[in-house]
Amino acid sequence: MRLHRLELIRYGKFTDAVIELPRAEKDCHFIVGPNEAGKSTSRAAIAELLFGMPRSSSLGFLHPQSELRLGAVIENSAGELAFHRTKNIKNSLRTPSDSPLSDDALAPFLGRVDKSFFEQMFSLDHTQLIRGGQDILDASKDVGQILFQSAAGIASLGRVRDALAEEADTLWGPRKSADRAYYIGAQRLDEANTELKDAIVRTKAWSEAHNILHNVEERFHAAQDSHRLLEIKRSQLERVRRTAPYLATLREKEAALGEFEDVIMLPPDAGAQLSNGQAELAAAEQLLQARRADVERLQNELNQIVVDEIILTFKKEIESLEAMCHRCRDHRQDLLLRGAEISSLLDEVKTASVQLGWPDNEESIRSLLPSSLVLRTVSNLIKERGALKQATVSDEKAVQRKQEEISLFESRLAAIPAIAVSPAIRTALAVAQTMRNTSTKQRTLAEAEYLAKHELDSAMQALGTWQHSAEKLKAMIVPSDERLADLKAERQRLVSAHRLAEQQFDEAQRRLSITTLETEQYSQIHRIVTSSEVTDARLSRDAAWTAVKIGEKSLEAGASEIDVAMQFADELVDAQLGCVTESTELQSLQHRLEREKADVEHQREMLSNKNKELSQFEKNWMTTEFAVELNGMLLDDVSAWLDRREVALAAVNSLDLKKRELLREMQTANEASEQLRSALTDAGVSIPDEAILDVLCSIAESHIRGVEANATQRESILQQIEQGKIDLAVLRSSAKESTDAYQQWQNEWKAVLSQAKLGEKIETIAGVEAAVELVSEIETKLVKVNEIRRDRINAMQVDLERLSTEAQHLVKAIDIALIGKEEHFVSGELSRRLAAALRAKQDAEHVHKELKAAHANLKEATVQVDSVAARIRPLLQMAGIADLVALLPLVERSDEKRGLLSAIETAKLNLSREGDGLTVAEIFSEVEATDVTNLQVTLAEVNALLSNSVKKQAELATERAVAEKTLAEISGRANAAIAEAKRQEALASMAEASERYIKVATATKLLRWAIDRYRDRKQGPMLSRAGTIFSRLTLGRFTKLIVDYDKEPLTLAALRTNGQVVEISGMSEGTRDQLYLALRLAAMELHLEQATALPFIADDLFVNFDDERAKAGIGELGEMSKQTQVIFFSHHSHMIPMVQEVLGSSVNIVQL
Amino acid sequence: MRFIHTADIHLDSPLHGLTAYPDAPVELLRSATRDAFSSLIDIAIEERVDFVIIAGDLYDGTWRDHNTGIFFCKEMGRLKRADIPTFLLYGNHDAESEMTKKLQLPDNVHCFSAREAQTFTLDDLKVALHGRSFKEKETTENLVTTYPRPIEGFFNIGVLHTALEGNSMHASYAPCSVAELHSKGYHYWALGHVHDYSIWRGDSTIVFPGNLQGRNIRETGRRGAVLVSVEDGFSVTITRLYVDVLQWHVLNVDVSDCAGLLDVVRKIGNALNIFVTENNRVPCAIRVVIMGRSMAHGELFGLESQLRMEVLSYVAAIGNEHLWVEKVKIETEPLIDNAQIESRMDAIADMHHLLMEAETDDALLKDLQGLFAPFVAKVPLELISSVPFLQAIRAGDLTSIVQHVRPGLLSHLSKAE
Repeated sequence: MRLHRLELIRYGKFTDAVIELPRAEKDCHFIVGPNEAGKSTSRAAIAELLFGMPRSSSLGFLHPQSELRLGAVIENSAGELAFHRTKNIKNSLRTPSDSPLSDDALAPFLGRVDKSFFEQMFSLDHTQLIRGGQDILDASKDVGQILFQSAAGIASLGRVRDALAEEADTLWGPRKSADRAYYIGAQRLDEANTELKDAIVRTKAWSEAHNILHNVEERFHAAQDSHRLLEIKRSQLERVRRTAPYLATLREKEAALGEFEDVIMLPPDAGAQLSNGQAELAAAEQLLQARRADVERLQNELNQIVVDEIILTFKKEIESLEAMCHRCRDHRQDLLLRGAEISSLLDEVKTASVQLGWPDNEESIRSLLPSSLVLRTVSNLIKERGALKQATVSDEKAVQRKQEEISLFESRLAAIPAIAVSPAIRTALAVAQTMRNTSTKQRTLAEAEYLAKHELDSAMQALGTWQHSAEKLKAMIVPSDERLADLKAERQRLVSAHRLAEQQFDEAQRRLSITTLETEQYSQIHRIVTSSEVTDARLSRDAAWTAVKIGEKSLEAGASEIDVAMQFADELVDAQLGCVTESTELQSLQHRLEREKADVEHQREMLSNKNKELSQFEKNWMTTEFAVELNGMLLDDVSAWLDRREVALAAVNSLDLKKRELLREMQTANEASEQLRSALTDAGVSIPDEAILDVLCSIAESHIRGVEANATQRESILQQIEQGKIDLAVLRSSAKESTDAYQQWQNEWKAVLSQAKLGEKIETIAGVEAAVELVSEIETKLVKVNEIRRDRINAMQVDLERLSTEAQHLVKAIDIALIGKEEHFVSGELSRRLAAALRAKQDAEHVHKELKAAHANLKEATVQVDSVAARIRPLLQMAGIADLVALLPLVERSDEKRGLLSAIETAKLNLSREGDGLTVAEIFSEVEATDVTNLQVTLAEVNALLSNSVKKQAELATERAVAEKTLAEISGRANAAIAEAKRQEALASMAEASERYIKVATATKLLRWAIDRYRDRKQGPMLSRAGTIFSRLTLGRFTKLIVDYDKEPLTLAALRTNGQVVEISGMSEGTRDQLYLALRLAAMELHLEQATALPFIADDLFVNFDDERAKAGIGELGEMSKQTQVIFFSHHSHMIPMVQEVLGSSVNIVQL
Repeated sequence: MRFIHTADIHLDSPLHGLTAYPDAPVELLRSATRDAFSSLIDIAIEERVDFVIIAGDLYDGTWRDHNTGIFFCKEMGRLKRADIPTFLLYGNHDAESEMTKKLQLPDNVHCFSAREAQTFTLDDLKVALHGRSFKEKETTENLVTTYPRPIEGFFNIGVLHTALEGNSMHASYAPCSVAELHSKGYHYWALGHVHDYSIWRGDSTIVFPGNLQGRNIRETGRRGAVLVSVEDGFSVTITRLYVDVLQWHVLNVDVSDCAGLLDVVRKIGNALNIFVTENNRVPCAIRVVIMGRSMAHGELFGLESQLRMEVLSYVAAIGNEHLWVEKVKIETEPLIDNAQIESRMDAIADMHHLLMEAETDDALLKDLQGLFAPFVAKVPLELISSVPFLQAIRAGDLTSIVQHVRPGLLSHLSKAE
């Protein structure tokens, strides 16, 4: 199948675009366009045209998805089909008039090829070529893989196989590994098995655990009972041991109490009270004495202190005088300094006044000083003057410049003519421009016409003796291909049958002659006696005998004859008997001879029949209208002649087309030329008479450019003049404002100068500035003189006067002896006296305070002595005595009696505490009943028994805990069930890993095996063919491809012209690509030998090829195009000359 | 009067075929049979039913952990505290279990004798229960003939563990016919042994309640027991009680219109979402079966593991607590058939022929046998029974494996670009 025309009706960026792919000797088409020209779109279009568009297309950016549409005319040996492909899900195939076509309408053209196969096998782009080249390198040690990948149009077999092998390895391998899925599962299974084994409890185990617990509990209860009895015994003995001593004490103390019946019971603390009272009384009396001495000493000290009360009365005044003295210490010196400073300032003022022409005394100067407001006004006016003057001058200049500028523009404008381009020129030029390269195009068309004519002549000549006019050729009714095929098949059948009949006849004749010869030779070699010979001999013998018998002959005469006859007959019989086998054989030969004769006749008849049939067929053919018309053309020549006729008709059409195109081009060009010439002449443009269209276009373009440039320039100047006038008005207004402002300033200046009295002699601005500065200086200094007089000198004099007054006042009041003394001396003396008086007063106050405290202490000591005596008094009254010394023995007796009573009470309490609740009487009887002397021994025995009992109970408790634990573990928990669940989970994961492992390992093995087989079968023809192509692609640098059979695995390599073997890894990237292309083309050729041909789409395959190898590649595609249509896409327009050089200038080149 | 009829509890029987993967709801489901049974007991107590019937196969016959029995006793103890008696009939599995003989059951549990048919009566309810336990696993005699005549004036219940007319999925123990049961004159037949719920109405109501909890992918759909209500002495109403904690389900996804793995994953995702929306009552163990003649067939062959991971991610997104993926089974077929491959007459077609030859290439098959021999030798026996490939290898049938792998491999190759 081939594409005759591809129509991009609404598809991607295209609208109603057509790519013509006409049939030629080399069916190779070169589609070239820059990036974005729609090359990839066109390539995609071919696949989608043939196999349908995807549900969602990325090419629906211009036209709505639902309106995408492609069209084509495709053809094969059976005919052609024009159709459209839409994006509909159903009935996407349509006729050009949009009637639906059946979904399998393309099947006769496509065979069983689907889209994926088409893309893999018939479409090769640069990416696939590169990847193929790389994969060859990856699989360079695996010839089978290289061949298979190339032939299958896939470039990833190795990766598929490796991926499968890798996956298999992650699932299972002989070596246990934690990374392999199976072993991960197996590990979990082991763990779960262990867990299950630990967790599972058999029923028997439960029964045993139950029995053990029951038994141990019984023993434990028995031990507890026994222990309890021993505890009671030990408790009793312990009680006796504890209570016996207390009981003895009780008895002893009760006996001793009888001696103290008459003793007076004094309080328990009487002894302590007595001794404490005695000690406290002695201490209180001693303290009383000490306090009295203190009072006396302090009174003396107070009497000795004298205080100057008069001076204390003037305390504040003295302190004030002291402070004033300190402040006025430097005043007298300072007064002298300030007087000098004032003199200096006044001198400077006078000097400045002289410069202004003023008098030199202070009073006059002060009266002449202008006010500060006037001075500031003068300063401000001086500052403003410069700016105002400057503005006036610059504004006037600006007005003048602008006027000059406007004049200049006006003169320029006058120099440029004002004309316009006529519409006629524009219209004519637009038409002419489209035809600009018409001469080139006309030459191309003329060339094409010549070539088409040449092709037509060749095609006509190829029709041989059966040449006709084009009209007759077109009108000729030709048998359909199917009819021709049927006829040819019929004839072929008849010829074959005839040939077979001839062969069979020849064979039958050959067999007959052989058998005839065999029979003759057999007869000659073997002397065979036949039965008739024997019969004849016997008849001769019998006749001889009969002749004798009937007397025809005498015995003597006949005897010898009889003997001879008898002997002959006997010999014949003997001979016959001896050659029975040979005779049978001969007979068989003769029978065969007969059969073969019949067969020869039969075959002869058959041959004759076949001959007749064939003759009849030929005769029938020769009488058909078509054969008659072609003057008895042989059937075998018809197909070839019809093909040539097609070529001739195509050439006729082509020639017509070319002629029409040329004529149309020429007419259109002339019309355009005349229109343009006329328009230009009307516009007054001078034109050479011979000017061709291109020159006319240039003149017109130049004319239009000139006129348009003038217009643009005029427009620009007019705009500038307009703008200039506006600017001038603004500038004039500004200049007037400046002049007015300056006049105003001059008026103000005159007024203020007269107020300032700076002297009429000063005329310049600089003079006024200097005078203002001098006046400011004078004013500043006079102000300073005033400040010194007021703030310093006057203040100091007032201070000194106040100091003298204060000092005199104090001297008179305190000590007249100090009259006439200097103020500082007076102040120092009075201050010293005041300090002494203050110190004396402070000492007297301190002693007075101490004396008051001593009186209080004395009173307290007296009270304490009275208190101690009062505390002891009740004891004496209780004992009935008055003397403290007699009290002591009575107190001692009382304490002794109290001790006895307390001991008795304690013994009773102890008995109660240790008696475990028994009464004293019960304890008494219990102690009485016990052998106290052996008590310790008995107790030790009981304790030993108890220890044993405790130990035994502990053992039993442990035993019981173990038994309880054992049984508790069988408490219905789900550990075993969970472990079993985990086991099943592990098994499930192992099953999953196993299943997948077997699948991928089998697939890996199968793939390897099949590739090896493939190599064994396909290696020869494919390598040979690929070698040839590779040699051509590499411009003969390599002669062929070889396989190194000594290596395992087998390695593919290429042989250089110089005999050097180059392995794939040693090839450059470009050479590897060429090798892959060679393998693909070889595989393609082999494929096309047995399958439907479809267009081979090649997309920019030669990116890694240098120019010469690219040409070789184009040549190979040209070769391929003899077998199937080749459509080559490229964005390299520089390849066009290469393509034309290699494939001829008539090669179809489509520019996108 | 109301009672619960259950059977085929198979306490502590594990769920089969679930591969644990990260975040799979393992803890939730490892005690599925126990949880289902406890739920049933909860319902019995809440509903204050009058009694409970267990019609056989309380345990798995080969299960030896006595804890299972103790657990059962504890649950029965709960019924005892609620004053609910239980009538327990031993089936073929129980007959095989050693626990049956040794376990000390609470006194509210009444076991039917295995020596002869035994009748228990509940006089206050006017109910008579007739039943006979299996003495041994292989009980193939018809036990119904040994059951006594119905007691007049009582609601008569026949408790029986039976395959009933030779149910093909289950061993044909204690066979009998529906007609025979109807003719016995009982009002209700509480059957066990067949794991799917079935009911026959007629002279009597005959019910298989099904098993309490599905345990493998063959036991799909909701599972549980039945609550039987008897009004006016003899009018029987059956209410199904679903107590299973995990439902098994096969989700068939047709991927005919998918071009590759991503499409397939998306389609499965959609199917899963719809499934979860419609079945969100209990978690599901789900088998995703991908089918249809699809362009993706070849790609899926190589990306089976990845597909599973993708499906697991989808499930994780939905929420692992809802779904446990049992298996992602690829049963797709190639888009083009053998004839179409052959008609291409290219290397793939050659490969197709070669792979066909491979099935009969003794050397290759021997090679494969040799490859798998060390693997099969290491595989535990119980795994072999669950992986058909392993059985085939042990039987020396490598051809079937090659036949199985061939179409996928071929599609995988032709789509490999």
